[in-house]
Amino acid sequence: MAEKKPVMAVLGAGTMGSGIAIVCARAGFKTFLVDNQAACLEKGADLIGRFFDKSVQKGKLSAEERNQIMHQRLVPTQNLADLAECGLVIEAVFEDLEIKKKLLAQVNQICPPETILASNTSTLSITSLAAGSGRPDRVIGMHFCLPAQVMKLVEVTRGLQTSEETYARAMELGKALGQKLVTTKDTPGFILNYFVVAFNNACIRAYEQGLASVEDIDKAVKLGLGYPMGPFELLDYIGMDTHLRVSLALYNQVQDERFWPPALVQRMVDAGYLGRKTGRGFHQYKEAGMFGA
Amino acid sequence: MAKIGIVGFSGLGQHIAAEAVAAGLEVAVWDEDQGALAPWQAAVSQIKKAAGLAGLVDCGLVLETLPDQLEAKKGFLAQASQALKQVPLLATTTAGHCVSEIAATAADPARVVGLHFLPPPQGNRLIEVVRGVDTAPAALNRAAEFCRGLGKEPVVVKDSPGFIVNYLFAPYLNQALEAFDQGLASKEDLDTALRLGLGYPQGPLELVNQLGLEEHLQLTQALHRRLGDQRFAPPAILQRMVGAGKLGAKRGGGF
Repeated sequence: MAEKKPVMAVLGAGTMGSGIAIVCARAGFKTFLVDNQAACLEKGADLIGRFFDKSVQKGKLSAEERNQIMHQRLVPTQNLADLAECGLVIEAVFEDLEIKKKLLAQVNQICPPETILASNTSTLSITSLAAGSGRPDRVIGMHFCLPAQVMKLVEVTRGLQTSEETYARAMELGKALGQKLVTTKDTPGFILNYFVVAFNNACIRAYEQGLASVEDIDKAVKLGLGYPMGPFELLDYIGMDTHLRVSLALYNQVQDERFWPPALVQRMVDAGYLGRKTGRGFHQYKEAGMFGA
Repeated sequence: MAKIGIVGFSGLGQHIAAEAVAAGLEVAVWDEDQGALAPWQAAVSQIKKAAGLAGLVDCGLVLETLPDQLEAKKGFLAQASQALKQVPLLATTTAGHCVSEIAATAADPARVVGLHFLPPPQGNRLIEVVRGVDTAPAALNRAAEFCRGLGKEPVVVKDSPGFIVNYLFAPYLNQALEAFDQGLASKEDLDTALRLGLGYPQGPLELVNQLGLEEHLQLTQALHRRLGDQRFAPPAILQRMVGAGKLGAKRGGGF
C-alpha cells in the first residue's frame, strides 16, 4: 500500500534552510519554506529559483519540473499555521538555544501529535532542545551538511528522550530525501563539527605560527591528504563569524583547547574579513552566490 | 638544472630517479652499499652509477634518500658539503628529523633544504620544501623549480616537527580513534560521515588500517616527543590494538 507522501517544512530561509528545502522539493515532497522576515523569505526563494535554473541549464532537471517545483511543490510562507499538515518539520534557524526552543514550542502547538520536529543544529544539544518542545520523544537531530543542496550526508542524532519510533521514522524520511544517514551520539559537534572545527583551528594556528603561507597550507592539505578544499578555502566558504560562533559553542561545552578559536579568528571578524560573503577572508573573491546546480 | 645526484639506494631514491629521468634529467646515484644498485638499473637503465661522491660534483642538486636516521643524514651532509663544494643545492629527504640540525653538519648550511616527498611518492604530487634556519632563498627557489620540473607541487614550510601534512594529520587521526573508542558512532558511520560530509577521500579508520596501526603509533609518538603537545599523544585504543598484534588491514586485522 502506497503511503501518501508527507508534507515537509523547513524553518528559516537562510543558506542552510534554503539548501534543505531544495533537497526536500527535489525529492518530490511538498515543502513549506518558512521565515518570519519577508526579505529573508524572498531572498531564499530567489536563491532556490536560481539554483534550479542552473540545474535546468546543466540538464539535471527539465524546465517543466523546475516550474512544478517552484510554483507548486515549494511554498514560501511567513505563517506557521500553514504547517498543520506537516509530517516532518526541520528547523534551520539561527543557532541559538532559546530561539530554537521557543520556535519548537510554537510549532508543537500547531502540528498534529505524530509530526516529527527535527533540528538542523550543528552545535546545540538535541536533548536540551527536546526538553522545551512539549513533545520531547518526537524531537531528533537531522544535521545536513553545508552546502545542503549538494552534500548527501545527514547526521541523525537522538536526544536522551527521543523514542525509537521517532528515530526509525526520521531514518526512513531521510532516506526518502535521497540522503545518506549516519547515527551519532548527542555530544557537542556530533561527528562533522567535532572534527572539522578542531582541524580548521589547527590550520589557523599553524598559519599564525608561520608554518607556511595560506596558499601552501591549502595546497598541502588538498594534495597531501586529498581533501576537496584547503582549510582556508573552506573557512572562507563557512564564514569567519560562523566559525567563531561554532568554535566558542563547542569550546564552552567541552573546554577542549582544540576548539578554542585562535586570536586571528576574532581579528578577521572585527575587520569584516568574513570570507566569500564579504569578498575577503583568507583569500579574496569577486562574486558571491550559491554553490552547485 | 641538467643533472642530479641521489645518495642512498632506497625505494624513495629509486622513485625520484625514475621521475627525474622521465623529466629529462641526467641522474647519477651512489651508495656505500653497491649491491643495492642492480634492481635500480634494471628498472631505469638511464641511471648512472657514480664513482663515489666525486662523481656528483657536476650536479645541480644532490639529495640523500638514506634510511631516516639522524646520524646517517648528518654523515651524508658532513661529507657532501666538503666533497661537493660546487653543487648549489643539497637536500635531505627526512620526514621525521629536524632539517636545521642535519644541515648544521654542513660547512655552508645556506644551500641545504629538506625535500619531503609525501607517501606514496608515485601517487602524491606534493613535496614539502623545508626551510632550515640557515637555508638561503636561492636554495628554496632552486628546490621548488626542481619539484615543478618533476611535475610535482612544492609548498614551502618552516622546519617544524611534522612539517605541514603530518602536523595536521596525526592529531586528526588520534581524535578519530578516541572518538571511536568513546562510542561517538560506529566505525562505518564515522568513516561515512567524514567521506561524505567533508569530502575526505577515505574515512579515518579505513585510512589507519591501510597506513598501518604501528606506523601511525610510531609517527604520533615521535611528534609527541618533539612537540610535547597532548594532541599527538598516542590514543589508548591505538596502543591496545598494536599491543594485541592488530597492525592493519593485512597484518592481524585492524579496525
